[in-house]
Formats: sequence, C-alpha cells, structure tokens
Amino acid sequence: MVKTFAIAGMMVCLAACGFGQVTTGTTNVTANIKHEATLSVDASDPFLTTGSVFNNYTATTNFIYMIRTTQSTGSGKITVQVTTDFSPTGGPSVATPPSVGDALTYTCTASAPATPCSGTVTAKTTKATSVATFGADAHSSTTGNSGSVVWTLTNDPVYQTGSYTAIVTFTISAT
Amino acid sequence: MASDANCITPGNAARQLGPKRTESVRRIIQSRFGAICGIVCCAFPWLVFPAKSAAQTVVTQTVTIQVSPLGNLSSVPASVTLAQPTIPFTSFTKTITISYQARTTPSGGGAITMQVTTDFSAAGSGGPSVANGDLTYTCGAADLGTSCGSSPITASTTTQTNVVQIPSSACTGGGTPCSSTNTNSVTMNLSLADTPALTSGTYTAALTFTISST
Repeated sequence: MVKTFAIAGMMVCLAACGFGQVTTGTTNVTANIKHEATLSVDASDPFLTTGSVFNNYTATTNFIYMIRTTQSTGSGKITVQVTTDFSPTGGPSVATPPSVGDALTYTCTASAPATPCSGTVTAKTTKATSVATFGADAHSSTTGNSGSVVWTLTNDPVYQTGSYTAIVTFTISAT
Repeated sequence: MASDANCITPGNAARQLGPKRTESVRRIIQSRFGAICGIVCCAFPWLVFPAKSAAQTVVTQTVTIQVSPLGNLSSVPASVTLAQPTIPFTSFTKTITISYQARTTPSGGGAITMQVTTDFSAAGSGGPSVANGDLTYTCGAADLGTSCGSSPITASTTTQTNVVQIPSSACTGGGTPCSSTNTNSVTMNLSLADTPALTSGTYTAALTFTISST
C-alpha cells in the first residue's frame, strides 16, 4: 500500500512538471516630469564700433534655450547680470561709469515660447535684468530655441585706449 | 594449542594445581565461570545461541525522475521611480536588478524578455510614450546567460524585447557545471528620454518580464 502511494506521487509530479516553463513578473516604472530649463550661449563677440567717430560699441550674444514649465502654475525667465565689471580701470564701467549717461544696454530677441524683453534695458552689476519670460506649460523644441542679446556700450572719449573685459552671466529658470 | 593451554578452564586449572587442591579450586572456578557465562549469555546471546534463519523478500523498485526545464523570476522590483536627470533634458534613468533561476535541456535554451504592458501615456498626449520610442534600456552582465549588452534597446508595447538569452544545458546554483550562485541576476539600465516637449506630471508604465526555458 505504501509503495503504491509513493509511485502514484511520482507520477503526479512528473505530469505537473512538464516540459518548458514560462513565468512572468511586473515592474511599475514611474517618471515625475518636472519643470526644467537649460541655456547655452555662443562664444563671446568683441564689441566693435563702426561708422562715425565715437559711435557706440556694439556686440551680439546669441543663445539657445530649452525649457519646460509646469502646467497651469509654472513660469520661467532668462536674465542677465554683469558679474564682473570692465577691467582694467580707465575704461568703461557698468557700476561706476566715468561719465553720466555712459551705460551698457541691450535689446532682446527670442523665439516662442519665450517673450523677449521689450525696449532697451540697462545692464547692471547689482541685479539681474530680464532677457525673456515664459508662461505656464511652456515647451521649447527638443533641439532648443534661439534668442539673442544685442549689446550697446557708450563710446565715451574719456576712455583710455586699451582692451577691457567684463563678464555677464545669463540665467534661465523654470518653475 | 598454546592458546588452549593458557586458557583458564576448570580442566587446565586442575592440571596446573595438582590433585590436592583440585576439588576446592574446581568449585571456585565453576562458580565464577557460571557467573561469567550468565553475563555473556544475557548481554551477547548471539555469541552463545545460533541465529535462527529468517524468511526474506527482496523487492526492487526502479525510480525514474524526469528533470524538466525550469525558469523562475525570483524577483523583479515591484515599482521604481526614474531619477530626474542632473543635466536638464538628458534622460530619466534607473538601474533595476532582475533575479532569476533557470534550468535548460541540452537541446533547449531560455530567455528573459520584457514588454511594456501599460504605457506611460498615449503617444501624442504630451507625456512620455513607449510607443513613441521614449524608453530604452541596456543591460549589465548576467551571471547566467548572455545579457542584452550595452547597446540601447528600445522597449516596445507590442513585442517582447530581449533581456537575457540562456544557453542550452544551463542551470542555476551549485557550481560547475551550473552557476556558482543559487540565484542569478542581471541589471537593467532604464532610460526615458527627457525632452522639453513633455508635459509636466507623473506618469507610470508597467513592464512585464517573462522567463521561459526549454
């Protein structure tokens, strides 16, 4: 009787095991897509003066931005600030211009979804000033969108001849 | 013969001691032999009494075991969250580990595959979409079989894509000729494209892993 049960048990096991087997498992993968932004600017262009004597110096900074802002409540902006004033001394200065009216100013262009700054803006060392703004649920293209800042620097006869360098910092942010 | 002479038996003792002391010594020896014999008979009866012959039946049973191919996903993570890229608009990433056990026949083989059974969101709806090709993965080395390798594979909602190929005559655990570990594993590096076009929000997809063996 005992032997009979043992053999029957093995027969059942063989039938159940079978040939070939497939089992599965599942993983839930979650992605939290949040606001993001990034910006790149091209290599610095020198300020040049053209045309009449003592015409202002001009230069252009081109940039590419990528942005995604939060639906409904998000926003974004691109700003610029002179983080290092012109040096050496004796030339132009953003913080302490040698003559009243001397300034580093700019105008903006930027493709949608950005809204570029309007009019002429004076750059500052003390605070960031606007280049462009974005609304909620803004999306740039996958390869980025373009914009530019066209700089104008007063050509004051008081400047001593020489080469002067300043650093301006662009910042893009998104919420 | 020498052993018989050295053996202390009533006969030998009488011969060695002479006729005068024979009777008293015989009694002493007989009484001590009687006690020793009693102990031996009780403790070791098979030394004294011949074994009784038993009736025996020998039954031979042939036991056959069919070791079948086996595939088992020991563990897959129930849920994971892709990490936000440190560099904007690169990729959301996550490394997961798949643990498995397998046994394949000399003429068979096995495989672990993956299919996205629930997409993050419908293509064109603003969220990430596997159907759009947004989810790719690479594999680390598998300690049994050959993993999908370092070339990105695009996950699919319609077909199962390769994770690990298991060769014939493969088996998990116990050392040569099987793997040295009792559970095998492979790592997968998931990568979800992060583009500005994606609409902000939380999205979840279900990845179904399948292991098969023959």
